[in-house]
Amino acid sequence: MKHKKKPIVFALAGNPNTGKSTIFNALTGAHQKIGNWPGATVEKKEGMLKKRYQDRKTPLKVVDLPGTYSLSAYTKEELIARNFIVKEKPDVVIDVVDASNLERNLYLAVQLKELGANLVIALNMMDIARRRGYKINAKELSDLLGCPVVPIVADKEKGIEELAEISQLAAEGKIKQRQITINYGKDLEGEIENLSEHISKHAAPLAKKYGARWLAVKILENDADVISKVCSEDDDICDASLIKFSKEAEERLGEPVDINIASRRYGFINGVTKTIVQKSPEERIIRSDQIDRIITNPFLGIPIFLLIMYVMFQLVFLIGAPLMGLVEVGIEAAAGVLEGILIATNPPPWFSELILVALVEGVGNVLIFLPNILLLFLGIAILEDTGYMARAAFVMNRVMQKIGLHGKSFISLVLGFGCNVPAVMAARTLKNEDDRLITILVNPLVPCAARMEVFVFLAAAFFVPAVAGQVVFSLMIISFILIALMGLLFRRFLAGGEKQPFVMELPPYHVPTLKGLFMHMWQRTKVFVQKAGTIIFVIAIVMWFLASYPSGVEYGSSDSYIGMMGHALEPVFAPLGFDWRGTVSLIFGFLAKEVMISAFGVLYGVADEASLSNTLELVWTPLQAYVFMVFTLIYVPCFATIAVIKQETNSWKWTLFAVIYSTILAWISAFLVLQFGTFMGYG
Amino acid sequence: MAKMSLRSLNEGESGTIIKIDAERSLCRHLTELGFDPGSIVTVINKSASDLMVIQIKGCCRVAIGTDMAANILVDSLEGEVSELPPCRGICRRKRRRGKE
Repeated sequence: MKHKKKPIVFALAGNPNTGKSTIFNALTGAHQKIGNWPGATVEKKEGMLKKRYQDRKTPLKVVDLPGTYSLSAYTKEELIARNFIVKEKPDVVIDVVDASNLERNLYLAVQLKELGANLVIALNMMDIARRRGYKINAKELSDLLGCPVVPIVADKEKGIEELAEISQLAAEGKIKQRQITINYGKDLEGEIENLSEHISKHAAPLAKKYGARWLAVKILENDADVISKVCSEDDDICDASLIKFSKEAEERLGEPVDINIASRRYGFINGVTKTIVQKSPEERIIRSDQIDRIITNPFLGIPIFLLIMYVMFQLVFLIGAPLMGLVEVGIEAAAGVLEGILIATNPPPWFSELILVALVEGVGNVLIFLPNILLLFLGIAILEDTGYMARAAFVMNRVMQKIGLHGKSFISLVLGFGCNVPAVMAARTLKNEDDRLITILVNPLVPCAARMEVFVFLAAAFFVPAVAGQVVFSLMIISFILIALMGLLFRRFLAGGEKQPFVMELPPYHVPTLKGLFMHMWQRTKVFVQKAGTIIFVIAIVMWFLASYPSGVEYGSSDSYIGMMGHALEPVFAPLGFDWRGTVSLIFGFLAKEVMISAFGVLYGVADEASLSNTLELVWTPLQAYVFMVFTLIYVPCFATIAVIKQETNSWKWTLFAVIYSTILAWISAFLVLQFGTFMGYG
Repeated sequence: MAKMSLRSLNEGESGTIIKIDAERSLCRHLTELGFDPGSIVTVINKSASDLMVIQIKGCCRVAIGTDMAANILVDSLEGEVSELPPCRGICRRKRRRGKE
């Protein structure tokens, strides 16, 4: 988007589960840009304010900050949110506050005020608060916090227009903010004053930019980010002298300064809520607790979870299958039209081939999965928006912790049985970066539907029906063992063995809105199609080139580049018993696992699957076939998965790592299986 | 009034937070989340062995590891055993449809 005028920026802040994304969608509509915050796997969403809310000529951008409880840089999300507010200086910060959970939510609001943000509070879920018996005086809240407060019900789009209007007024400076000062108590105030003076003297530009008091409070809170910033400003105020201030304060208080400061903020908030909230005497029982008694019951929890997963899969694959058929028909029709155009215009033959192979087969292979992916994302959106996802993590936590993963990882792993692409994306629901990375890295070890196809074909070709099922099942066992093993290894070596303490809010159950569900589903699918689609297209072209050149060779034959690669790589795979054909098939499996079988067909020059299995039976022993399956199970996921791993980790290093580790693991496992099998006399 | 760990409170019992014994940044995170000294917490659900559900700030539910709850010191509020009614299953619904 090229804009002539620098747009006004609204930043949307707020705790998780406050309806922030609903408000974001309501303000911006469907035109959103979804990406990552620089250097982080945290999702960044921005969009332009809907035209009908816009009163002025200047374009207006809304940036959705990550959901956080505070701005203390405990998590990456907090740091991102804070840096954006401090560095990018958005014209207005809209803090979405859950009115039914006012006290906890105001903590962030107070921190935003302290930061000197031009704050507008969106007091959301007023309906729920009212039903719970809270009466909130928004006017008084606005007076006490010194910023505008707009009551809204985001689910019903009530108050959104006012919110947009007031935020625009605030952006123009027509609504004045009043500074609020929290009294941090006799002991600390003296220290804050001394430190402020010290900073004003030695780091005047910083003090002017952020306010000396804010810097002083942050330094006393031992905020590493601020301390290093102040230190880099002037050599005279180095680390040691700054830490001296907080050391002194700590001695005087007899408790950690940051804890004291946080408590003081809550003290202030407590005062505010006491004034403005009237609670009716009988507090409503929260039905959520009662539902939780059943949903998170130690005995019923896991069966219920499995049942929900089962239903979701049935939904995805049963409804998905006919839709997939439709898409296939559509792609074939499109291919037919393309072919017609190509014949009519008569371009060079390589061009027609390129278009048909790369575009139709490469991109088509991805599009075929689109219905499944849409439904899968719909399922995830339902789980998330109802509040069940938090419960699933709760229930599965114990099992997953034992293998180095997090409760929420399980959802991502289960989705992998369908397709690893959305499964890797589902790891987004994990808030901790280490947890997310580990989950993404082990995810490709879950055999997707495409790999299952290969297994079923080979098992049927080489084993009697009674054993074939067990063969496939044994592959699943290998998959589970490796997931547990790698989970533990990654936890130990990548995350320093540190077990993440489990703290998670359980949001009350909530009936999602259809609009919200479709927005969620659509946002994710769009990203998948855009990013994964482009990479796959490029790779498909490369693969096509490798298989059809040097010119004149038969597609995928021994003389083509890919055949040469097969020959070149043959020594690597010879210890596993694969010849160049097996190697080429594995290279094709890189593109998409579905094409492995048809690649064999090309390589052995047989068309239909029945004669292919006969041919294979002549050249391979059952053990060799099994070793091949083991390798296929573990080695590099397909390109679509690699593409999303890159997208989700936002790092080539980890993407490369995922490719390399899985290939090495596959080689070792296959080798061990071969040796063991030979030893046992199955050779 | 008795000092004990949050973990040793029974379901439905409340306590006032005295101190969190944890690594500094985690301690701070919990404080900011609403486990600040002086605030009242109530044990909502203790049936899982690894996690327990705590009410903080009067309404918000947070699941925390029991190992962590063992390091949170509270002053138990006896006699004030919760305004939360004991759980009687979810069948007891009184939905007034139509009129808000």
